[in-house]
Amino acid sequence: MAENVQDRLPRLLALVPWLSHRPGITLTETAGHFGISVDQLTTDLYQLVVCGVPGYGPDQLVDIDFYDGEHIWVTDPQTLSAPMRLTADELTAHLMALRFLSQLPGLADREEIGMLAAKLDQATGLSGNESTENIFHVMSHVEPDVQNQVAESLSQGVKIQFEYLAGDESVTQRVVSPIRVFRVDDNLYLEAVCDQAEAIRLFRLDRIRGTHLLDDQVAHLSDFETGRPKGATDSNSLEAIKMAPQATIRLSESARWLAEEYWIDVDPDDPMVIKVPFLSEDWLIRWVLGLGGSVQVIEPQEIAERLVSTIREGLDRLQAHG
Amino acid sequence: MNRGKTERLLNLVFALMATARPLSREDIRQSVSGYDSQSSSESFERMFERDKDELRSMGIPIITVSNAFDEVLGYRISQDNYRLIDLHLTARELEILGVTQEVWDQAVLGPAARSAIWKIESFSVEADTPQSVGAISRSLTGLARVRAREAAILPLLKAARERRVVQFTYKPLDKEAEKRAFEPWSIVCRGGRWYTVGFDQDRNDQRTFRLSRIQGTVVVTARTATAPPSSEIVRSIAFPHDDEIIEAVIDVAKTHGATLRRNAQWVENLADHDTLRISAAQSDLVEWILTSLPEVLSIQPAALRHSVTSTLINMEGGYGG
Repeated sequence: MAENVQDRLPRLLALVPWLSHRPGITLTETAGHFGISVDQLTTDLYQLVVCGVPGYGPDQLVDIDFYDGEHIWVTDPQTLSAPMRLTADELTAHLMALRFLSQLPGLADREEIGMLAAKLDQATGLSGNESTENIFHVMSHVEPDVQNQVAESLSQGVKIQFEYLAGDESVTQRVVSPIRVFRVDDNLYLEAVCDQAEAIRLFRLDRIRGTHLLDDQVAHLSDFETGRPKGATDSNSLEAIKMAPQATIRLSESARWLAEEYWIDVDPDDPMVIKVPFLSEDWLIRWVLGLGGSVQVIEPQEIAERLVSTIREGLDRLQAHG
Repeated sequence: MNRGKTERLLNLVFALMATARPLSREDIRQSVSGYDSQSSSESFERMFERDKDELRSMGIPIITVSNAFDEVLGYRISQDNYRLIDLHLTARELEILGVTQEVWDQAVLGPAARSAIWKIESFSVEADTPQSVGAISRSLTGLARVRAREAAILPLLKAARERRVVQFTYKPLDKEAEKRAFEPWSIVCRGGRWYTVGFDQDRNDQRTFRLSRIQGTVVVTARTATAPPSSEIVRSIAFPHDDEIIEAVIDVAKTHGATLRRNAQWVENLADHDTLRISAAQSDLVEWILTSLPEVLSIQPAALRHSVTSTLINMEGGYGG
């Protein structure tokens, strides 16, 4: 339970200048801001006030007054009057995130984001942007045409038509009124009012093909339930996954890595048996097929049976066509 | 004991920052609180070496000062080097950083994103028009989230940045786990999975490793990487690792086979089905074909088809024939 020095020391070094800038701030507010308990903060402060420069006389120690148990005043920060320069990881985290935001089609604040990235980059003198660009990639396979046309329809406020290659393997034609584009991991999603579904739906940009802009103005959002989008987000959310039925699946040695996936539970009695939540039987069967024999469905029995008949039909068809 | 170590490191930082002339090892041993208790010079040396490396790994700029004969005179931290300069951010810009911090909410970069903000908040922000504050975070919040949770990302990023060799144990899909010595060039997220691309010293060639198949921790060694990274290679990288790229021709039922269609370079629409042409690694092709199995009508070349059918025969066998 002891906190690692690598996590702790950077916080202690950051605390002193942060507190110096906010004379009289409360322990509660500070602890909340640093994501620690008031007890932990008190321990941190007691630790700081016994440290200082060699000699360690009263004038050589950090001096912080927090003894009323409520407010904090830094009376002598010693050498810690300024925060430490940004580390490479800190710079990477913010520059990457700024890049993710500025890459979103149809974003209004792009210019301001670019200026902020330039400020961060220049201030650190690490040329972080350049080096980060080359070593960290989150690749989104969106066709440039799709990206441009979605941006165009967002800025012009017109509907867009496309072919959608869905995650359930279906292929459909859609006409939608785009609302915004957002990113989760390496996927970009278009949130839009779909004419076919007559509701707000999410579309992954890499699954969109054959876009073209229509002349029709976008549907008014107020005609639909705004706020939390229905459909795709609901069925993908972690909440939905927690409530879903589970299949029991045995792993072979080569699929052992699956047990580490965060959405999968491991059988407490057998590390090679996992519980996989599934929202649809079709999805589960396709998922198991895609893993190519490195896993085996134990329960539910009906799914194992459907899987075997899908395999037999597939074999018959492929072998017949030579 | 953790407490003692934190205090010793803090005292070392204060001492090195407060001094104008470099502090020799002997100075440090004699004067810095926490080292004085070390009875033997060997145990002091070990402790000081570890501490110095640990502080440097946190980004603290400890300078080694040497004379003209390359003899180490001592160590110090230059205040100019240490300090973050005031970035003169506006309140709106600080708000945007609040949003970029949330991008890494559940990721290994989350703590770094947070500590950067603590530092920047130690300066005053420039005033904006009051009504504009809040609008930015309302319009940007939730627009990006990257759940990079693989613990291997941080050491690999560091090694790629500093051009160093790492060591880890890797378990390929169908082979035994092996120890690898590797020079990472780049960390890549693709298809919801994390990979590292770089130079494999054991194979003497470029390789790609999937982070979820790395067992245990990634150790960043002191050794410098030998092979120059090629950003061209990183961009055109073929996944996954050891596979050669083959050209497949696959017939699928109309309006089905979305995974295969997404990866197809060419789609030909015929009367009763569509023909897809896909160049990809064999193991990816097999995975995509199996995922779309009910809608796949035929597969060329024969070697790929055999690889699919033999996988299916194995799978069927697993359920008692």
